[in-house]
This record gives sequence, C-alpha cells and structure tokens, in this order.
Amino acid sequence: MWDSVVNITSWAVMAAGAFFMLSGAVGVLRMPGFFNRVHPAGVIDSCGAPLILLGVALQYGFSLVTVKILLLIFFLLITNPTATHALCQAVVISQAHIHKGRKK
Amino acid sequence: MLAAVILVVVISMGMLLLRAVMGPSIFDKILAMNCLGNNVIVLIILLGSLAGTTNYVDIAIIYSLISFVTIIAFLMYFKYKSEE
Repeated sequence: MWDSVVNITSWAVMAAGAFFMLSGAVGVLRMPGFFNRVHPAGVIDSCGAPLILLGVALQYGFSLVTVKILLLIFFLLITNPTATHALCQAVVISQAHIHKGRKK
Repeated sequence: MLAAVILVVVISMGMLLLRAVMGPSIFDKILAMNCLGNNVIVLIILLGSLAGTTNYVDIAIIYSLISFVTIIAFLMYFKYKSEE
C-alpha cells in the first residue's frame, strides 16, 4: 500500500512538472518583448525541471540515486536565478532593449 | 507514462529552438539556449530512467555545471559590447 501511494505521488508530481514545462515553452515563444519572455523562462528553470526531477527521484526510494538527484535540484535552484539576473543586467548595461526605428 | 513526459519535454525543446532561431536580438537567443540546456538535463535523466540504468545522473550533474559556466562566460562577453 505504501509503494502504491509513493508511485501515484511520483506520477502526479511528474505530470505537474510537464504541465509547467509546456506552459513555459509556449510563453517564451509567444510573449512580445524581451523582459516579458524572461518570466516564462524562469518558470521552466525553477518550477518545471525541479518538479519532473523530484518525480523521478521519488520512483527510486531510499538509495544513492535519490541523493544525487536532490543535489542536482538544489544546484539548479541556486544557479538558474543567478544566470537570469546576469542576463537581465547584461541587457540593461549594453542597452540592447532601446529600439531605434520600427519596433518588431 | 514516462513516454508522455518525454514527449512533452521534446515538444518544449522544439518551441525553444524556434525562439532561438527567430529571436530579434542576441539576448533572446542566449535565453533560449539556457532553457534548452535545462531541458537537456531533464531529458538525460528521463531517458536513463527509461533504459533502467542509474548511471546517467552523474552525466546530468556534470552537464549542468558546465552549462552554468558557459552561460556566464557568454554574458561576460556580451555585456560590454554595443549593438552597433
């Protein structure tokens, strides 16, 4: 019975992660303007990928692989906001968001 | 069920590739490649779980470290270069 509960929880978490991944990808494709596209990209990086990886980690129970996947999730949650902040700061400093002429 | 999640991840990678090709500025392309790298990490672990082996998690950890250093190196170059 306990195995069945963990199994169903793992599939539910993976389905939620897949939904957020799809919504983030549609957002990056369809949003107008650069700073509007950074937000769905953050949804993919910090909400979609860790949920899918958590679902895979729950499938394996208490073993070494679960600890490694949790380490990977921890690293993803720390480095992805750092990279997003560096990207937005680079756009502001290089002034690439100022339109000269017709706006696309 | 794993096949459905893998299909969703592949569709998401296709959409991000479309944004990487048609983004008007270089920073749109850098953003799309960063998210593509994260999708690759998820795909490595899912395909390893489908094949029944647990050796692919080490590869995913190393790839995420290298991808983070790469994105920071690209941004350090493009930060001080003007568009003209």
